[in-house]
Amino acid sequence: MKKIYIYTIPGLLLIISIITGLCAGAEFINPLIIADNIINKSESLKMEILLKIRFPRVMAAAFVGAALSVSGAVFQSIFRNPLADPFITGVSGGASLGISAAVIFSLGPLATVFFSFTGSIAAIVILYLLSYGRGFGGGIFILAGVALSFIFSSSVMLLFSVAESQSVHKAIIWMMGDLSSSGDVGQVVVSALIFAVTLLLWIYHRHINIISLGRSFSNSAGLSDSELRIILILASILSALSVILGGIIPFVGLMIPHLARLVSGHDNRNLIPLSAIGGASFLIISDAVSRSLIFPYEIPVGVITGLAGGIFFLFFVIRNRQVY
Amino acid sequence: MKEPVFLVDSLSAGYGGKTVINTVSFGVGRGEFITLIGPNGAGKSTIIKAISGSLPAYSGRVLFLGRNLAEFRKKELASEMSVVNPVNGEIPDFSVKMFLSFGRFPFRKLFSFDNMEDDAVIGEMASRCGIVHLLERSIRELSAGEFQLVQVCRALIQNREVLLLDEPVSNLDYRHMIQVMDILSALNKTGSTIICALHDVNTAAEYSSRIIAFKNGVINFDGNPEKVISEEALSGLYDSRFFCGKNPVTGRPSVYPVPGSLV
Repeated sequence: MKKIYIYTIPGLLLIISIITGLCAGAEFINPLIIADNIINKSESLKMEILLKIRFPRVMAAAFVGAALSVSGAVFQSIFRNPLADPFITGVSGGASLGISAAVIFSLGPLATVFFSFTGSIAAIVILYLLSYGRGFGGGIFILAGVALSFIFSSSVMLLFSVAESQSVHKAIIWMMGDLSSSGDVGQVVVSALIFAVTLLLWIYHRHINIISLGRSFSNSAGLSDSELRIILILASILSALSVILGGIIPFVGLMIPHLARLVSGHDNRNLIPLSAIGGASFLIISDAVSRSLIFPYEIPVGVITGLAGGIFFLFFVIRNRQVY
Repeated sequence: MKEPVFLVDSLSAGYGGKTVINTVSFGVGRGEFITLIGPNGAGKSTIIKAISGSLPAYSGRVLFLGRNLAEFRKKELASEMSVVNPVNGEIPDFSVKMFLSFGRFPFRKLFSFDNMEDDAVIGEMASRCGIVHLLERSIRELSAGEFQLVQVCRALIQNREVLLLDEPVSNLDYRHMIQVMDILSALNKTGSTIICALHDVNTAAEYSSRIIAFKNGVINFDGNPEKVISEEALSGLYDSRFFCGKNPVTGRPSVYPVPGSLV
């Protein structure tokens, strides 16, 4: 791959984020002690915290952040709109409605996954049908996506209002963005799926590049509707996987692809991996901040990303205000 | 007619249920250079879209190389014809070289990397279109004329047998207009079939072997420019008076719209 050097700084950033994520928290662990303990294979309480609590959590943040950013990057390219992300398209909303239903009716983990996929794919199918034939351009899909998000979130509220309070509490905690994973089999499976879907989308990078020139272009270049649908469904599944693993974490999918594009340009061959690295780093850091900012309380990570993302979003709109 | 490339049979098409072209029929022989002219909204672009397979017909049918257009898979169709459409909206920041490589898309498998054959075709066509000096530039930074040359070049990389172009020179200066049209003319001389929607009747008369004029979604007149271009025909087409003469250099018809003569 040409231009491999553009990965140097983001790669270093990811490594620094992981180290920070492992060390920061209710108890700060000196990275030198970690290194020392690894080398001498000694077992201490700190290593216990590190391996059993922090490592799974850092991994969850990394995979959720990567999944959100990659699906955001792909949506932005396909819909040719800088504001497209898993939330504005209603895809995350669909997934969270599916998961809320599964949690409230106490269905098993397989049903949770199935419901969340169904919800996110339903959102993208509705968007696809609405904007098909209009070349995906214009504001129609933003309007439709916002409408879908409201429909889904109201449906979640409706579910909560009629459900038992105990299961509602569980669902609300998760909806605020919850990365406290236990490192169980479920986390490993979802993470592996995130990796696989990201890889598949990367393999389709040339297709995504061609779609980013508009439907009439991609049509004449030989890209079929079924290929477009596969890519849209993969991106929706990726959003759903992030919601399963981390709950509702706003703005990562909107913001990170824009930052990644500053380094990679618009070519999805580099944009997808850089968005993954950037999203992982950003969410690990955000989670570390959320755990250490107001000790001993833990702020939901969605609050951190929402604040940082919201401020970024404002600046983005102000900078591009002549467009709107 | 020579071997037909297209046979358009009572074709109606449009957008959102609104008919734009209404039961249009014509044939296109191999090696023809056809220009489509007519007022805005007459259906020129719609015809290009309908016969390139990107707009489904309401009724009627299009035969391409003897087969129903709807039966072609997208990649198969793209390897048999290439289309130049205006690119609207936000243009991504791709290099010209990368944009040209999209012309090889119909011939590539999902798992494949840039190969020598692709590079050879891209290089050859870039020099034929005179854009070698632009290869490393971003398509965002190009002038309208340069981008149009790059678009035509990408189309040639994809397929050189059948080319459909929707207003390829509408907003270009004379130099770039002549450059683009000369490339098409040279291709046509080596046997390519070209169908091109144009606004300027002079450009159409100068370059094409046949003009099909559309008005209100139906064919208004159709034939060799020297035979069909007349003051009556044009005033009927554009509801305005025209004076017709000849280009003293090429001997082709040339037309002069008369200001203040709207009927």
